[in-house]
Amino acid sequence: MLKDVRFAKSHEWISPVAGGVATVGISAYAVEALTDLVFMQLPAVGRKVKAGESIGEIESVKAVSDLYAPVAGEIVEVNSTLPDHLETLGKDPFGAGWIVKIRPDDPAEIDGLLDRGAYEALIGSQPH
Amino acid sequence: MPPVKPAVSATGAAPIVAWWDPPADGATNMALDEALAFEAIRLDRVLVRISTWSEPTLSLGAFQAIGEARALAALAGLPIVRRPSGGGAILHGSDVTLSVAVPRAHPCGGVPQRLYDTVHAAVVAELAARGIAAGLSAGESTGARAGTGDPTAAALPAAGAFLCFDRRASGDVVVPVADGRGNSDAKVLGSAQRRLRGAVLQHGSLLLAANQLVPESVRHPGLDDLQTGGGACAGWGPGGIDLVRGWLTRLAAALGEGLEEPSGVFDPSPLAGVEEGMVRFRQDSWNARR
Repeated sequence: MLKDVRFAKSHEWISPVAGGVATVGISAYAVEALTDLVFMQLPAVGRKVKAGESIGEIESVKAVSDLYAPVAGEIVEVNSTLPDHLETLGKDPFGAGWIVKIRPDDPAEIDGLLDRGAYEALIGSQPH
Repeated sequence: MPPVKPAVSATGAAPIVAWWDPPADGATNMALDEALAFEAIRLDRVLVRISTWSEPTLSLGAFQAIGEARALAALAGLPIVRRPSGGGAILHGSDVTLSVAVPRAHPCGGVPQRLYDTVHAAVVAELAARGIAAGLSAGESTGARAGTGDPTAAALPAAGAFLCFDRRASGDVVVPVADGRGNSDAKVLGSAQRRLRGAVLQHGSLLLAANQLVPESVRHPGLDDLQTGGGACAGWGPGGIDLVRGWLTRLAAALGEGLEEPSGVFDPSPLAGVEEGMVRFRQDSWNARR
């Protein structure tokens, strides 16, 4: 599954569309960089979002970060157990740590995001 | 203010830019700090804003419950503002706020700890130059007053976790003197960040002296209270300003290639949204959102 996901430069990943819906999370790199997560706010189901729009916030001990929609669409499901089990984001960021499911307005928009190789090159170039 | 030129080359290759702003209320300070981050993106420069508070104010971390603040009867009457950054609540009035905005592509714009450590190490070095033995906390404690037998602790909901200066995060600046609140050291600088897509805004609160305007049950010792003989910086007077200037010089050496200090106050581009921010930071929809 990981080989098929695409990434936004802001470190969200999005799965291929299945049944009209794609799954969104944040990368292991982003989780590791934030460290010590303490709180997460999820969007409301049914909300329409634009690509790049903030869909939630996540707080670590020292920082608050926005979560961004990688593509435009409608939020159709949220992982409501996640805020009470933030450790899941670190343990399984591409599986049980999914954050929202979105019905993309244009599924082809996903193809314009970074593939795994391009994303790994991006994070390799970023300051650590 | 005179226009600040964008960086010509890669981020970090230009001097940092710093403004010394006059005291302002909470909403104004938060709006200007948020604008500082947007200007850091636009200019691709590291920007610093040094500010104080025109009235004693409680600032909440981005996700703290406002009920906790209101439950502190001792704080009744204090204006409350919610910061965009994380961390614990701060009782402003005897501190100086060190706001640093760094483009995400800057070497300190990546993982949160690097900017935190860089800003704090500059404070530790400046304090050391003044004979004050400060250091960086290992960060193991988050509940300073719990279980200490402090009779006021029971009145405070999650007391240690609520107030920033009762917390100890890795890299906090501490002085190895018991703070009288159950800790073996006293925290004098804590910071928290808001990480936007294009920049990181870091808020730091340097506690110059104990805040005599708040009840003793929620008062923390500041630099002036921790030194034998007192008067490490004498509050926000010439001594405090000199201390912060020394920090700024060290920070400029660590983060950029020198320092620019434009005349006048920080006056961001209209695109940075200060007017809108000043409205939002006064509204319950923001301040009481949790």
